[in-house]
This record gives sequence, structure tokens and C-alpha cells, in this order.
Amino acid sequence: MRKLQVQTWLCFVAALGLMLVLAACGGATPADTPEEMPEAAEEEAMVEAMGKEAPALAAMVAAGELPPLEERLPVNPMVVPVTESIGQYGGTWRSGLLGQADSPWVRRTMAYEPMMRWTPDLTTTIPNMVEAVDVNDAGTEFIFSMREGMKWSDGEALTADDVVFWYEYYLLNDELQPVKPLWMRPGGTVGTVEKIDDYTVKFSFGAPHGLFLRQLGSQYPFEPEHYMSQFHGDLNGEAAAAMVAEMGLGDWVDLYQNKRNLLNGVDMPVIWAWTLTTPASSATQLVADRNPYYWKVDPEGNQLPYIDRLIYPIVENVEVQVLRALAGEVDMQDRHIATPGNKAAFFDGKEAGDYDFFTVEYAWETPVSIGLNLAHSDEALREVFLEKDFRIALSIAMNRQEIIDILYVGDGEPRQPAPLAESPWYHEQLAYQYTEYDPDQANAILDGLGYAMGTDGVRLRPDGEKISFDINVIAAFEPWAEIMELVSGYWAEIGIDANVQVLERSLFYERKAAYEYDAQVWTGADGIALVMDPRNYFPFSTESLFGVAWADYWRSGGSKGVEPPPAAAEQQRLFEELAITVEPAEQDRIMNALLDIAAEEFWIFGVTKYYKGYGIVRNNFKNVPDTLWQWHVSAAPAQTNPEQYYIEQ
Amino acid sequence: MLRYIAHRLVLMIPTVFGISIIAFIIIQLPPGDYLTTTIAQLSAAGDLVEEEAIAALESRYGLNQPMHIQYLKWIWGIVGRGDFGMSFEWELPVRELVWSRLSLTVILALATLVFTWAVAFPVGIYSAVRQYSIGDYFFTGVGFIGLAIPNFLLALVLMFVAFKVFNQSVGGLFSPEFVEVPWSLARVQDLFSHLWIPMVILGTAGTAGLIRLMRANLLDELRKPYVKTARAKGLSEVRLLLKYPVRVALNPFVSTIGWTLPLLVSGSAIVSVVLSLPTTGPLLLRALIAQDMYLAGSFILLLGVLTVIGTLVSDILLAWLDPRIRFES
Repeated sequence: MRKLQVQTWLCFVAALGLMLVLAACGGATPADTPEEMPEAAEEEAMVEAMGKEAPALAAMVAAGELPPLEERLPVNPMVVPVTESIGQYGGTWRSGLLGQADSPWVRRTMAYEPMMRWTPDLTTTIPNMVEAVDVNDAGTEFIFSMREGMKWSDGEALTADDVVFWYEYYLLNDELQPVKPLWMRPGGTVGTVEKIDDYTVKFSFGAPHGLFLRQLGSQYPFEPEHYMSQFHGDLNGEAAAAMVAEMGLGDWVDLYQNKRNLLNGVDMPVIWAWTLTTPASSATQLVADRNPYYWKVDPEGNQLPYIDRLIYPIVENVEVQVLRALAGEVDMQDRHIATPGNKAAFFDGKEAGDYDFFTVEYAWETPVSIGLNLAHSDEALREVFLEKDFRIALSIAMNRQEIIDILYVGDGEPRQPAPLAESPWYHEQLAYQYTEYDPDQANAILDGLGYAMGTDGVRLRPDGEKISFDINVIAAFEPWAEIMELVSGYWAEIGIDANVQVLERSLFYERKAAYEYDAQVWTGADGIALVMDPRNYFPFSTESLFGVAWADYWRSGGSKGVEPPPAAAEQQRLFEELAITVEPAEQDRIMNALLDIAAEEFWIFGVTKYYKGYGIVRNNFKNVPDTLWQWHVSAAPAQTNPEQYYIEQ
Repeated sequence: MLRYIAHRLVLMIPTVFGISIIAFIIIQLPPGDYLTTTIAQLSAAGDLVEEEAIAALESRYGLNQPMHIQYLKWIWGIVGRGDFGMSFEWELPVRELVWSRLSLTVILALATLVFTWAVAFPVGIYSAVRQYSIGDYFFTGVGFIGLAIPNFLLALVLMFVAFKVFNQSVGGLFSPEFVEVPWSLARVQDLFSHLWIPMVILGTAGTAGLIRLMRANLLDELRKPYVKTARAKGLSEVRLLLKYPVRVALNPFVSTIGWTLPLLVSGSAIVSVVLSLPTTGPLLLRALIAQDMYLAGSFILLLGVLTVIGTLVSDILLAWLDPRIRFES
């Protein structure tokens, strides 16, 4: 309460401003009619309340339908900095979903409230759902202080029990979670979660967990026990079985998943700024309304979010959404519509649609990584691929600037897949080595390797066969087919025969999983934080195009895949060490050692740095940063706090 | 007649059974299954999906069982409990998903059908009676242009015109303010103000074929002696036309009723995708892309059943309409 008093004056001023605006808009606030002015004290209380919460909620409080704000907010609400200015309550944020199943955009706009959250610059995570975290020196115990008085969207208290419920009944339940997620089992065994008091929980692990706090930036280890327990087969078996039968589902696991579904769980209590009121299964639009129990405030103590309501019309065809945006019917969106190809149309429509651009910087290292299958089953081809000089020759034979000029309208910079300059682990050698276009040198290298030029202009392998391979691409995301056609042209000039194959996406993945490909192309994944998805730096996952089989070998403990060469195995060992290292300086050292090996081995090569993307935002839609990072892990733009966006009334 | 219908109904059982098997196999033909599609999406988004997690999901969805076991489970659910299985992607029963979109789909399809007939029927008669007149060339020309332009292209063009010229909200079947309100007269009006675009787009393609059929059939009939006889007896031209040759020439209309039933469900898929209509078409397309096999399989089975029923209805109507058609096998 003390804190509230301190801010009374500020709030009073803000409230007065707000009421003036409301009056100007013709809003029928009681202040309009002097005859009905309540007593001075009451008025002051009301004005104060109006400054701190949305007018609609204040009205509900006055009518006795909702507890007062102090009872709804936690003792220490999270204070969210505003991008430019303190906002105004009200308005609707219209965007759109491409197809009913487009859950990522919902997550990115209204539902990114994990235990920790990524900061807008993506360098680290900060406490979000919890108030603070205390880590022991060994890095094995994490004590989280939760926010006392924090509520679910239905008004029930969020306590340590909800975290323990998640642990005991969700994570440890073998039907719901047959395989326990990696982030809960550093060193192999699943950690434990215990309640210390109502607002304190402890996560303990058998091994130091160096990446835990960053991994929590996209994890939600808590469930509304009071709601979800009624659908749990172990807790409420009979009633759950009756619901399963009534809904025509398979078993209670279906029921449980159905009830917590992001797009359709209308009744599910959440901690998001808005709660779902019309589910995506309505087929026409998804709607979310303000959560009266939201637990974040702006620097002046006003409860967030500013915006009343989010509407996502469901379109089946992206052109419909593009036209909507051009007509000014989209308030803020980049997903789907803001492609390089649409930029000219959006630029021309700025005035008519009353919107402007914001800049999107990609936190992925490159739009084009070209990975040769270094663990190819064809021995002769593998030998050629494994020759580092061969890869160097391919890399310097590419005229990167030409590709950038033709396919990215000059927006880019010749570069390999490597950490970005904004990353704490920026590595100059890895970024720029072998990017200089030099076909003569490439030819010289290949001559030096003894790959003699055949009569038809294609070089020959040591076994006398032509050096010929396929490049698999899919027709989505980036103009990969066009880029690789150019690349295959450059390679033809140095006597390498590469054929571009455009594959259907599932087939692309099937081939990758079976190691049955010569070369594949995809984007980068993690150019800043690195630890979340270092796929291009060492054989990390099935997305490490140069060494899928090596990554499988590592992950399966040797039962699958192909044994990686010593340098790759050393990198994998370093990453394991990183995962159980807590000391930041030590983490730096290990990561740099890992990147040094990557630079030395030159596993994979790329074409360009990511171009600058854009999104569109209506001119009256405020507090969207001019530039924001695009990254899937931080659910961009969620790291810029959409709850503090507001619409100028 | 009743015996014939009963005979046909009995024959439908193995036909539908065969369709269900083929539908199930076709869905399984493309590489991968729902899980590979999901895993592809997850890993593209940077989420790691582990080997054991995949195996667990496979056994949960029953994807690790041989195809015939999967099929038997599915078909047994349908026959035994009317349960079409669950949509993997939606975590919802297939029945519920399809049902929620069916009413608008049927409204759209019926409107299209009425539009097609309302145009094709008089124009066909006119073109036959006034063969090689300017009007005949004009209507036939328009019909063929409608047939030749792909529906989705027409949809895109109309949508752009609606936006550019009328500044109208594009896509969907309702204006934003009517999307979530209960049915009322205003909402019906709003629906019809949006419905005409897909109706015209879908209808234009269908009219050309029907016009030509009507025209050709009617031309054949007009030259027959009974027409001359009727005319000689002094029957008025309109009455003569409608009572005899047109009735005979109606056969192609009736026999196509059978095809329109499955179109009710899937005919407008691509146009619906382009125009963002909340019909079943986009749902089917999405299910096929995501390899959501029970949803897709149930759709294809439904289409098959509707085709079979539609054919039966056509045959019965034809027999009723044209006494020359008999049931001898």
C-alpha cells in the first residue's frame, strides 16, 4: 500500500489526462455531468483507480463484479518499461492468422509468459513469472521466489503448488510426458521440484545446469492445478472418463491436451495479458480480451495491458491478409505478410492504409546455409566432401555479391554462418573466411587436390567418377531454388556438377533423417545467444546439415548415426561441458574454443548476412520499437512486451 | 422400382468399403506421416525433438502399427461408434471439426447450384432456339471465358477489384462486425452481400458446360418429328418448347445432381482458400498437407459416400423424369 501512496500524485495527473481524452472522445464518464459528481473523497479514489486500471475494469469494480485492483495485483507486480510513452487504455489490436492452426503468432503476441523471459536485445533472460532466482555456487539448485498475490486469469492464486502440480502430474506422468524434456535432465537424470513455502520452489539437478535459466526463457513449468486436475486421469479418473466419452476423444490424455490447447482452451486459466474468448476452432476468427488479473504494470503503476482486445481473423490465403493490411485493417503484424516481395506494395500503400514500417533484424546468422553431407554413405563422395580444401574451393567459387544483388536487391553482405556482431561470441574469422569471390584460386585448389578435369568439363574423383551431386531445397521461406541455381552455375565453371532438386518438405526431412542426401540448404537458427540452437557451429542436431549422422551418434550415445571425426567429437564434448558450467567467464571460454574449432574445420558455408526485414504498424499504434529482433525462441515480437503497446484514442 | 433401389443400396456397401480402403491407402502414400510433418515444423523452429519422444508419440497416435491395423481401428470406430477418430493437429474429434463448418459450406454450394442453373437453363434454351444468333454467340462466349479462367484467378481479381474500387473488406463470408453475433436479418443480409462473390466465381465455371449440354440436347430434339407434329397441331411455341423437347433435354441437368453432392463438401476448396471462406474445403486441404490422416481420411470417405448416394439419386430421378429409361440389368 505504501508504494501506491507514493505514486498517487503521478497517477492523479495521468488519470486526469486520461479523463480529458475520454471526455474529448465523448465517453460518458461521470465527470461529464457536474450534478452527479460524487463526494470529493470518493471522486479522488475513483480517479486514482481509473488511472491504475482500464475504465471497463474500474466500472466492474465499482459495480462489485470484480475485486479492487490491489487485490488483483501481486504485492510486487512486474514493472514493464515502456518503449516511448505511458499509454492509454482501450482499443483493439487487429492482426490475423494464416489458417486455423497458426499458433505461433498467438504465442508471439499474447501468450509469451514463461518462467524467465528473453530481454529485448536477446543476450540473456530475466525473471518473468517469478520475482527472483537464486542459484547455488555449484549450479545444481535453483530457488525461485514467486510473486506473492499473483493470480490466474480466473482470480485463483498462483502458488508454488501449481509448479509442483506441473512437476508431479504433468512432467513425471509417463502418459502425458513419455519422454522427459532435455532441459529438465542435465547429465541424464530428471531433476526434482519441491515446494519450500507457498511462494518459493526449488529445482534441483544431479549435475550443474549451466543453460537452465536461458532454457526457461521458453518453458512454462506451471499449470493451473485447480483447473487442470479435473481432467487428469490419475486425480479425477471417473469424471475425466465421462468427459472423454462425451467429447468423443480417445483417452484422458487427449482430454488433458485438448483443455490446455493454446488455440482452443477458452476456459483455461492463464497468466497472459489477454485471455482467449473465441477459440480458433470457430473457423472465422480468434478473439482475446483483457485479463483483469494481469500482474504487470507500467512505470507509473498502471495495470497492463493497455489494449482491450485482440482480434485475429483467420485467413486461408496470405493475399487476403495483405489486402487487409493495405486497407488499414491490420494494426501491427509482420508474420506472413511482410515478405521482401510485398515491400513495394506496402510502401505504396502507406498513406492510404495509415501505417508505417518497423524494422525487423533477424537473430539468425544467415538465410542460406549450404551443408554438404560430410557423413555420406558413398565413400568416394564422402572423401571429396571431407576434404576441407574442396569446401573452400566451393565457397570462394560463389559470387556472393551477385546473388545478393539479384535475389536480395542488394540487401546483405557476403558472410558465412557465424555469430552476429551483436553476439557476445562474435567470431570474425568464422564470419568472413573464404567469402572472397575467386574462381581462379578455386580452380587452382581443385587442381592441387588432383581432381583432374574430365573431357565434358566436369572434374573427376580419385576413383574416376565425375564429381556430381544433388542439392536438396524446399520451395518455402527463402528463394533457395533460385539461389542454388546461381550457385550451381558458379560451380559448373570450376568443373563441379551440382543439380538443384526442389523437394516437398516431408520428403526433404525423410531424406535428412535417413542421411540420404548429398547437400541440403536451410537458414541459420541462433546468431546471438548461440546456446539455444548452435546447429551450424557443430554437429548439434538433425538440423546440422553437414553432420546429421554425427549429431545422431552423439545424442544416441553411439547407438545411431556415424561416429564423428575427432574435431567434431571434441566440439560435442565442449558443448556438454558448457551445459554443466555455471560461471559466465568459463562459459565464454568454452564457447570460444568451440567456435575456434568450427572456424578451423569450416564445416558449412553460407552466402549472406540476413537482409533487414520489416513489419507494418498503424500510425496510431504506439510503443512498438523502431527495430526489433526476429527470433523464434523469444517468440518475437513478444520480447518487446506487447502488453505495453497502445492505441492512441 | 423399390427392388431396384434396394439392390443399389446393397451394392453401395462394398463400394463404400472399397472407397474407404483406397482413401486410407492414398493418404498414407506420401512420404512420412503426421509426425514427420510436425517434427519438420518443430525442428525448423529450433525445437529439438528427440528420438524417444518421437517413438512415444508414434505409439500414442498408433502410427507405429502396420497400416491394416490402423485401418481396421479407424473403420471399426466409424461403424461401431460413429467415431471418425481424432484430428492430430486439432486435438479435437473429426466429427466436431467437420460439422462446425458444414452449414456455411452447404449454403454456399446450394447458392452456387441455384445460380448455375438459373443462368445455364434459360441461356441454354435461348442458344438452341436461336442457334447462331448474336445472342447465342455472346452467351456461349461468356460461358466459355468463365470456363477457361481458373477459379482462383477470378477470385484474386475480384478480390483486388473489391479492395481497389470499392475499398471493401476482403475475404470471409461476413463483415467484421457480424462475425460473432447471433443470426439476425441484418446478418443474413451481410452474408448475402459477401456470398455473391464466391457464388459467381464458382458458378461461371459450371454454367458453360451446362449451357452447351442443354443447347446440344435441345437442338437434337427440336429437329424430331414430334416437334413438327405438335407445331402442326397449333400448340403455342413456348408451351410446345417447355412441355416436350426441354423436358427431354433436361436429362443432363438431372444426371449431374449426383456430382453436385460431393461438390457440396469439397468443390470450393481452392476458391475458399483464396477468399478465406470458413468452409470445409480449406480444412480438407490443410489436413492433407499436415497428413492429419483421420481428418483427411474421413473427408475422403465422406466425399465417396456422397458421390455414391448422389449417383443413386440421379439414377432414380432420371428414371422418374424420362420413362424411356428402364431398370433392366
